Amino acid sequence: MFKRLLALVSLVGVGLFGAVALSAAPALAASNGTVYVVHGIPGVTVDVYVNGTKTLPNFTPTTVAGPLSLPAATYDIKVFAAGANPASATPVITASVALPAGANASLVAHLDASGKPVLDTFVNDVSAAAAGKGRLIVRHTAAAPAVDILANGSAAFTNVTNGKEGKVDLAAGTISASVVATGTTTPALIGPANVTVTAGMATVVYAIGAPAAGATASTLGVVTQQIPLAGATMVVPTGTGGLLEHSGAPVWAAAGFAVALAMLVLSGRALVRSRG
Amino acid sequence: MSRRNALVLAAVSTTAALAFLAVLLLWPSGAPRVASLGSLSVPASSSPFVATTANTGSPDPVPAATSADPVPTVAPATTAPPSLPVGLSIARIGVHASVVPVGVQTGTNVVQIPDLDHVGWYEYGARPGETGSAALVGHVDGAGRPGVFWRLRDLVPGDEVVVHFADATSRAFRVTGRAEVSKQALPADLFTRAGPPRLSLITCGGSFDRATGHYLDNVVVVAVPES
Repeated sequence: MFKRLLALVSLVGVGLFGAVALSAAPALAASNGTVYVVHGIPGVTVDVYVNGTKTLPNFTPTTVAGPLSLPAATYDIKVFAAGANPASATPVITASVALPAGANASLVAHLDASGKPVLDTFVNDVSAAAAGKGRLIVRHTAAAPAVDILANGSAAFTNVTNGKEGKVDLAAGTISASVVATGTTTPALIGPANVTVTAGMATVVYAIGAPAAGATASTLGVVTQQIPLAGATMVVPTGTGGLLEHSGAPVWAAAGFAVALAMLVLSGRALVRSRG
Repeated sequence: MSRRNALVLAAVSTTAALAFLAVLLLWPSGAPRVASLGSLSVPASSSPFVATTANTGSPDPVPAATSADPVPTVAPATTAPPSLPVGLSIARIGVHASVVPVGVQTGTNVVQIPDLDHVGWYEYGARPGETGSAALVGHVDGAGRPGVFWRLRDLVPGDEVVVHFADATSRAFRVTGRAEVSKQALPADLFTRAGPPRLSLITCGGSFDRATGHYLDNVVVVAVPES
């Protein structure tokens, strides 16, 4: 599975590079954006085409590809059912994604509130968190109306609608999270599930899928990804001795000065005496 | 003592006193600043990512992937974390020390520093060898004697740094850069989990402020995993 993900990442990398190299000179890496691709549509394995090139073949639900470092540009993205002929088949999703320079973003294929497949771009807040804290980001990408997200039983985010997110910085640790219809506490539509908050990382939890409808079972679930945050500015007080100040200090010069002064005093007294 | 001898002695001692005074006054104050050897950034830092497209600037970034074996040469950030660091050896400067996890002084951004003889690993950052910066902090001195990182400033690119882990494994790193920076402007990059795997060894240096009892600068040495 892991090796397969590597292969996917590799392929999308090569493909996107090929697509970009044809159209524009590669931008400096420093201004590149960072991109993750998240598959949040249950039950549908897809091929992702970027600027007409198949870059993520057989991309399976609930997986995350990336991070990819990509030049700022607008990318034409089409998602087809795996194996479909892009020349004749109708894409599941068609989207145009503008990636700004230096942006950190997650492209998420998911269902909108009415159950229609869409591709949304979420900008990831990777600014530094306080020391010892991590960031929990919860994204509503399921075919469901507004929800509340409960953390350890109490509402952490309320009235979150499809395509929106809530975020909070928390001390590192594990919380029990569940998703409920807004204004309620039960029943849990998703979870409760343990979510680990890691210091210095954003933990992004996507609610995906659709509730049960008629004979169709519920496909609600979560996808989780972790993204490193920027470092905080820290203070490192690692010396109180002041010994560096003295290393090689001219102790001999101080001693010599003292001796010379003493001699000067002696000679002065001798002079005074000789006069008298 | 004759008057003549006394005069000679006075002249000689005055000259000597002035010479010694000049030495005392003109002696460079404080330790010489550590010259920056290159930058602190690690070689792959043009891209802080390990994804395969990080090299889009190079003419031949990735060999055309064949469907038979498209496995890239670098792994994404999802590799299993290494074990916890418990020891540090730097042969060139005689460091063989235990490593203990450290956090911050409560409610501040001040990193806790262990006693003079131990190295602290900043537990809210990366583990050594993991994606991102693993910060290792140690005293240059204190209580009138040198600390574990007394000679950190002597490290030069190419020097070997070995981290020992709780699972009895160890991993070698190579120094790539060293710099002395104002304590007020310690790069935040030293404490992020983003970017290529690297060690950031941090101690104090520069001028000593007697009023506060602290040095004004930090000495930082960066090392990357030996390939």
